[in-house]
Order: sequence, then structure tokens, then C-alpha cells
Amino acid sequence: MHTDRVVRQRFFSGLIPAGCRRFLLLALLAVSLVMLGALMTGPLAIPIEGIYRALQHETDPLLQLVVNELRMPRLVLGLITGASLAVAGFLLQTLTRVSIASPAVMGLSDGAGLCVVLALFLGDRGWEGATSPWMLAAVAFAGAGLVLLILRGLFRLDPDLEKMVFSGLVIAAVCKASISLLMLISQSDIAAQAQLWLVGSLAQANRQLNHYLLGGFIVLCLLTLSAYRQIALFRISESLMMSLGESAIRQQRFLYALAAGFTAIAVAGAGQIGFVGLVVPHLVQRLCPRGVPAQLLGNLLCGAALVVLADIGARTLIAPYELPVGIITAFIGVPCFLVLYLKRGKQ
Amino acid sequence: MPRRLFFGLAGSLVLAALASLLTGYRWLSPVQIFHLMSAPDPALSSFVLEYRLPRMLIAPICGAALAVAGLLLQSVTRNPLAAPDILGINAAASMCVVLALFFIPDLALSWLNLLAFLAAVGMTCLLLLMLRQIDERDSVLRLPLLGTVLSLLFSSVTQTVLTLDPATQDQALSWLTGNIAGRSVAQLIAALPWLLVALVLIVRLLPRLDLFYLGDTQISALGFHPGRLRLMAILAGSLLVAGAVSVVGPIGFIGLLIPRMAHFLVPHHHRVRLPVAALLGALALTLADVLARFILFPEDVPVGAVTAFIGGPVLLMLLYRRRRLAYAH
Amino acid sequence: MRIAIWLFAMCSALCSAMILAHPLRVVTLTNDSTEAMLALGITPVGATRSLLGNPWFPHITNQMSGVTVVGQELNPNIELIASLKPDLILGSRQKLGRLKPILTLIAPTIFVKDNRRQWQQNFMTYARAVDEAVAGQQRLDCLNTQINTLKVALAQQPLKSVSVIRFNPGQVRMYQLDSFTGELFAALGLQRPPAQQVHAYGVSNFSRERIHELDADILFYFTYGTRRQQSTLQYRDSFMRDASWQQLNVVRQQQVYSIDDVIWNTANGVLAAEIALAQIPALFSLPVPPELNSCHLPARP
Repeated sequence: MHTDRVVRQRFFSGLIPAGCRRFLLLALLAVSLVMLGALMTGPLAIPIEGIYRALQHETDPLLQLVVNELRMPRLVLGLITGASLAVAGFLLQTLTRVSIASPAVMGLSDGAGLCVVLALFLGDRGWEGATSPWMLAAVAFAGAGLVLLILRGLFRLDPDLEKMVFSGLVIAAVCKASISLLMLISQSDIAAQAQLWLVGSLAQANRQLNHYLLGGFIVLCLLTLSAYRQIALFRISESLMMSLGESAIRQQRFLYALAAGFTAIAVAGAGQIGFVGLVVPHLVQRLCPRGVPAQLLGNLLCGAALVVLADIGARTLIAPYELPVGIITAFIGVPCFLVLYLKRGKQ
Repeated sequence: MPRRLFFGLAGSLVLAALASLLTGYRWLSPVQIFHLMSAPDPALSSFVLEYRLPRMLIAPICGAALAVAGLLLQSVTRNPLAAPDILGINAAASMCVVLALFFIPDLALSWLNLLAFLAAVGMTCLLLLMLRQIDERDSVLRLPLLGTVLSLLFSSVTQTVLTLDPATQDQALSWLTGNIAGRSVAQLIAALPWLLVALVLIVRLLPRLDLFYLGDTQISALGFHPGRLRLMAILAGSLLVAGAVSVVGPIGFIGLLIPRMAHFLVPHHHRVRLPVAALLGALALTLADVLARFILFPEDVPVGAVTAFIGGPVLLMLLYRRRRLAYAH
Repeated sequence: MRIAIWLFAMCSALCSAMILAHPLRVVTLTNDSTEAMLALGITPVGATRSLLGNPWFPHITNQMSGVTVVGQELNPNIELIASLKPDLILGSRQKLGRLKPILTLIAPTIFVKDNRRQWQQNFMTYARAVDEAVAGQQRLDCLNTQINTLKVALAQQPLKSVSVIRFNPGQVRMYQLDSFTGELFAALGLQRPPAQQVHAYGVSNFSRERIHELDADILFYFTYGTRRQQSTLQYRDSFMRDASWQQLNVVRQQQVYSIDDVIWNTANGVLAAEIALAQIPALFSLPVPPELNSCHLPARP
């Protein structure tokens, strides 16, 4: 509409274009609703007043426990995970200019997952420290980082971004095969634990874990938001960016590292949850075509909402058993993705 | 040149088959086999018939089936990176099989084959529909990437079923990685009708394979029906994939790499490329199966893991050997 | 040891304030802890469903009426556990280590290291957790008496080595020393064939080319009681038609027996152990079955 056209000419000036403001408000509303829903649903149905009182520590200890120690950490973990995956996907799609790039497609989350399964495997074999949350987060980051390093090395051989993304796919397939192999040769209980990790689960959310992850997440968010100009430049034209020389290459590496960091946070917290990093950036792009800071915020909010919504479904659909979060995001994500992608292709 | 290549490949295949027959946890010698034919020894002959012979037969047949399926897919989609595993056809077939086993635990083999076939056909048609949405100017990587997205969905479903039914996880995992050890000749025979029908279709398609690289109007101009050609190729490919996957599970990289290698070996002889791919595929999977016996001796590694560990780096090497992907055929 | 000290500290802090006006509310997250509680006369308020059975194993079903199912062993529903207001949660670190921080917030949580091995030590850990160490030790002593009686009887019969395998659909698993049967047979003084005389849980996908390694004086097999029963039985039949199998001494001597997978393998608990021990005289065809006094505790007042 008219406002959008005016804004489009002054691309860099408006931090949050008008059309995006509406979208962000809607996203904020969605996140709030979803958060409320997450706090209210569960085996103990708690009405809104109950939630409020529980948060103020003014009610039955059981309800307080359930709301503050179980549902709230799970909610926070879901928010962090969803936001991280969405931003990671956004960064990867920007940097590689391939619209189907995402942590899962490029093998980052598989690499992280492989290292986590290795750590579980070693933990079972006797190395106790291997399974602490610290270690798993570090190991996940190492895995994602390693895959990125390999991809960058391949990129130097042939500067074709799509080839690089495809190589990520190949690496993902090799990682998946390695994970299957590890699960087969280990004792069966590790296979089952690793299986849960591979499909994503928010069950282990607790305050301590969340503190670590939240700290890392906030740092990464600040870094990403502060780099919005570089991201915007990358989105216009990569050749323009590269022509700016050495600092551009460093910026690129920095942004890739951010993507790896976000992926590591998500995988260490909840395991591999797919499709969030793939679909959410496309959705945001459609609803908020300009303005990188707005898009970043949009990704954060929408990704968070998606994962928390999926978690609500995972907890309630086959109570008392739990579905993996990844399957719900897949069922929501794939049709959305196909619709968005194929419609875009037609235009 | 092709004739020498053929004999070379055939010879290598025979050697590989012999290796498959003779090596393993228990090493046999050719002399023993020879004696077996003259003076039957029930213990040895049953050992050979039950363990080695199935592997010796299944590996080449399924390898050839997967390689040819990959070649047909690449022809139909005109995409050098199309393959059953990349495009998610394997994942679709696996998902259907795992779902079926979850709901109907003791499902008969023939039904599983049928399901795998339907899944393969369905997935291929879906991909072709998606292909129409993709611009010609778009990169050749669009289709594989789209197929990957779908295969991620299918593997999510498969993984979910596995977590919901932890009791059957081990066997499901073993099947999902692609395994030749432990398969019986009966399973191969159950898949044989599908493979034979595919063979009939391929024999009819063979003279027309070059046509796939022309546009639809040109094909019609030459007097052939492009839709029917494509349908035959899809059916043949799906039958091959269904047959192979129902016996050994979803094995990756064979369908992708072998046609590229065949293209590299015989770049100009289109009709010869299919038999060459078949031979190469047979050889590759047989060698992978032999290797699978020794990597973690004395345990058997699933052959799908071997093809992934070897095929992954080889594929990357192939991708990065040339500066541009070979679009021309 | 650490667990004992921790528990002692926990108990001294809690016990002074706690008046047991109600029976102890325990949630058990693994089957061996469930069986331990049942053996000590405590019915859990909540338990994870058994791996097989609907939702409990057959040998504990009639003692588990009214118990809430709190999810699967590997993926319990934590909120449901909280809503049961337990006084104690029991489980295994190997299976549920990642959930310990949250479970500790709900109730004191005692995890054993690995619930598939060292069933006797695990049982004592659970017994101490519910302050029934004495009763627990009595139960174990009774079981060990049974074991020793059987050991003496078994020493006088010719079958000395035992081989243990399990049939899954399309797969055979061979068990080694660090498994339930491994520990039980070792306690009974029986040998294992060399391939099974290894300190590990077992070999998951036993190659059929190695069938000759399974030979022993007597062979026990389980068929995994999953929903794919028919496929498992078909696989077992095809396995047993194999020439290598037919040539095993144990097959020729017809000392191959099928035993219940739940009791002898999957359950891992003290109740299952007792049932298993009761089956030994028949399995080994002991000419004079020894007297095995029941180890059940007298009913609680």
C-alpha cells in the first residue's frame, strides 16, 4: 500500500517500517496468547487467576510448583529454542541466499546432534561429565561449528552458495548415518535417549539450564541486532558486500558464527526441532518485506510462538504420553512452507 | 570403448560377488565351494545357502535397482542431482513401512512391498508436480532441496513412531539404516515381480532415453508422447525403488552417485549408460556389503552406514571437482 | 555411598518435621523400583508404564490396581507426577539423568546408577530410600538363601554352562555377564560360554555366522513379547532350522528351553527374580527339587 511504497524508497532510514509495525504487534499478541496457553494447559488445568496467584507465590504449593518450576521453565525454553532456530534460519538464508537454507538443511543441527549423541555415548561408557548441560551445550556448538568450517572450506574451493548448501545436505546425511550407527552399536538405552534428543523434547527444562541458555541467547541476540546494517547489506547483494573487502569477509564469518551459536543453543536445550528455521523466516519475509531489525524481531517472536504452540500440542494430544515437539512443528511447518514457497515461485 | 568397459565392470562384479560369497566372519575358500558341488556337505551347503548366497544375490540386484532408479529420475526431472534418497522417495517409503508396522504389527511382506511401491510412486508424482512450479532458470539444486524438506518431514514422522513404540526400536533402527545382513532370499523373491515388471518397462524405454533431454514439443514433434514416456519412467523408477527398499531398507547415495559416475565413464553413449549404471551400482553395493563385514569386526555394520560414509565424501569430491555442475548431457 | 549420605541428611532434615500420618506416597519411574516397592509392601501412587503389558507386566498387575500411569519410562509426564504430590521419586540415572533437576523440586529423588545391572544393590538403595532397610535386607537374605540352596543343588547336576539369547523380529541378541540373567546365573554358580563370559550387557545384533559360539550345556531363549509376535516366532523357527544350529551340542542334547522374557530379562526386579528362581528346578530338571521358602513379607497392618 501507499505507506509501504514510500518506505521502500527510504530503505535504511526507518528502522521499523509501518507495515511491519502491525505485523510485530500481531506477533507480540500471538506470543502472549501462546505463553498464556502454555501456562494454563496441562494435567492440572489452571485458570488465569490461578496462574497470577501462582506467579505471586500466593497459592497452593503444588500449583506454585507446577507453574513456576515446571511450566514456566518449559515455556522459557520453548521461547528460547524457537527464537534461536528462527533467527539462525534467517541468518543462514540471508548469508547463503538460498531460500531453503536452515540449520537442519545445512547439516548444522545434525552435526550438533551427532556430537551430543557421542557425548551421551561416552557418558554411558563411563565418562560421567560428558552429559552435564554445560558439556552438551559446548559439544553442540562444537558440532555445528565443525560443520560450518567444513562448508566454508568447501566454499573456498568453489564459491557457489547453492553448492555449499547442498554439501550441507550431504554432510547432514552422513551425520544421520553416523548417529544411527552409534545408536545401533551402543546399548539400547542410549539409543532410546538419543532418539528423544533427535526428535526434540522440552521435558528437561529447568531453571538452571534456562539461565545458561538465556544468558547465551541474550548475548547472541544483542550481537545480531547490533549487526543489522551488515545483515541488510547482505540481503541486498552479496557481490556488493564482498566488494567491500576484508571487513566484509570477517562480518560474514561473524554472522555464520552467530548462526552456529543460535543452533547450538537450540540443540543443547531441546534437541533437534526441525522446520522452525526453515518456515518462520519465509513467513516473516512475506509479512514484513523490508526492515532488517523488524524482521529479526519478527523472527524471534514468530519462532518462539511456533515452538511453544507445538509444545502445547505435544503435551496435550496424547496425554499422559508426550509427542516429540519436532513432529508438530513438522506438521505445521511443511504445509506452510510448501504454500509460501510455491506461491512465491509463481509471482 | 564401451565394450572394454563392460567386460571390466562385469569382471569386477564377478570378483566382488565371489568376495561376498567367501569372506566374512567365517572365511571360505574357493576350493571348499568347488568340493561342495561334487561332494555335498549339509552343514557347509546350508551355511552358504542361508548366509552368503542371499547377500551375494541381494547386494548386486538392489544396487543395480537403486542405480537405475536414480538414472531414470535424473532423466525424468532433467536434474543431475535427483536420486531416491535426496528427493525423499526413500524417506517416504520408509515412513509408510514403519507406520504400517506400527498399526499392523505382523503385516505380511507382500503388503509392505505394495506400500513401499505406492509411497514411491506417490512421492515421485508429488515431486514432478513441484517441479512444474520451479522455473527453468532456477538452479538445479532447487528440486533436491525441496525433496529434502519433504524427506525431513517423513523422517520426523518415522522418528516419532519409533519413540512411541520403544519396544520395536532396535529392529526398526536396523532396517532404517539399510541392511543386507540378515535378509533372506525369500524377501528378494517377494520383491522380484516388481523388479521384473520394471525391467520390462526399462527395456521398452531404453531406446528412448535420449528423448528425455529434449523439450516436450520436440518430443511430440518426433512422434512420441512425452507424458507417457515420463509415466513409464516414473513407474519403472518407483518399482525399482520399492523393490530395493522393501528388501534392504533405504540405502542412500547409490542412486545419486552411480549415475554420475556412469555419466562420467560414458558421456556420449546414452543408451549404454543405463546398463553401465546397473553394473556399477551392483558392484558398489556388493563392495559396500563386503566392507560392512570388516569395519567393526566381528559385528556387522549396516550397509547404509557404509554407503553414507563413503558416498558422502565421494559426492562432495565430485561436486567440487568441476567448477560448475554439469548441466549438459 | 553418596546416595546414602545424601539420604541420611535428607532424612534427618525431613524426618523431624514429618509425621507419617499417611502411607508413603512413592512414584516409581522404572520397573525395578516398582517391584522393590511392591516387595516391601508399598503400593506406588504413580508409576511409568511397563515396557510390555497393558499397562503393567503380568506378574505385577494384580498388585498395581489404582496406580496412576505417569507416562513412558523414558519420557514420563512430570506434571502428572507433581500432581500426585509424592513424598519420594525413584528412578535410574541411566534412563532419566537429564530430568533429575526438575524431579528434585517435586520430591526427594533417588536414582540408582543403572537399573539393568546390580539388581540386589539397587533394591537395597530403594529400600533405604523408604526407610525399610531392615525389611529389605531380610528379603534379600531370603532370596540369597534360595540362591544358595539352588547353587548347591545345581552343583550336583551335569549341566554347568548356560547360554542366553533373545529373538526379536529378524534379529538375535546374545546376553553377557552384566545383565539380569548374567548376574543371576553367576550367583547360581553356572558358567557361560566364552563369547558370553564378557563384562558387558550383550551383543545387540548377533551374526548368524557365529551360531557355533552359542554352544553350552543348556540354552535358554526369550522371544521378545512385542506386538510383532508372529514375525518373531517365524524368525525363531527359521533360525532353528539352520544347520549350524542343529549341529550345536545343546540342540542335539535337547537342552534348549524357552523362558519368559519379562521375568528373566526385561523386568529386572526383585519380584521377577523370585519367580525366576522358582522356575530353576523345573528348567534344570532337578531330580529332587529343593525346598524354597517363600520370601513374601507378612501383610502390613
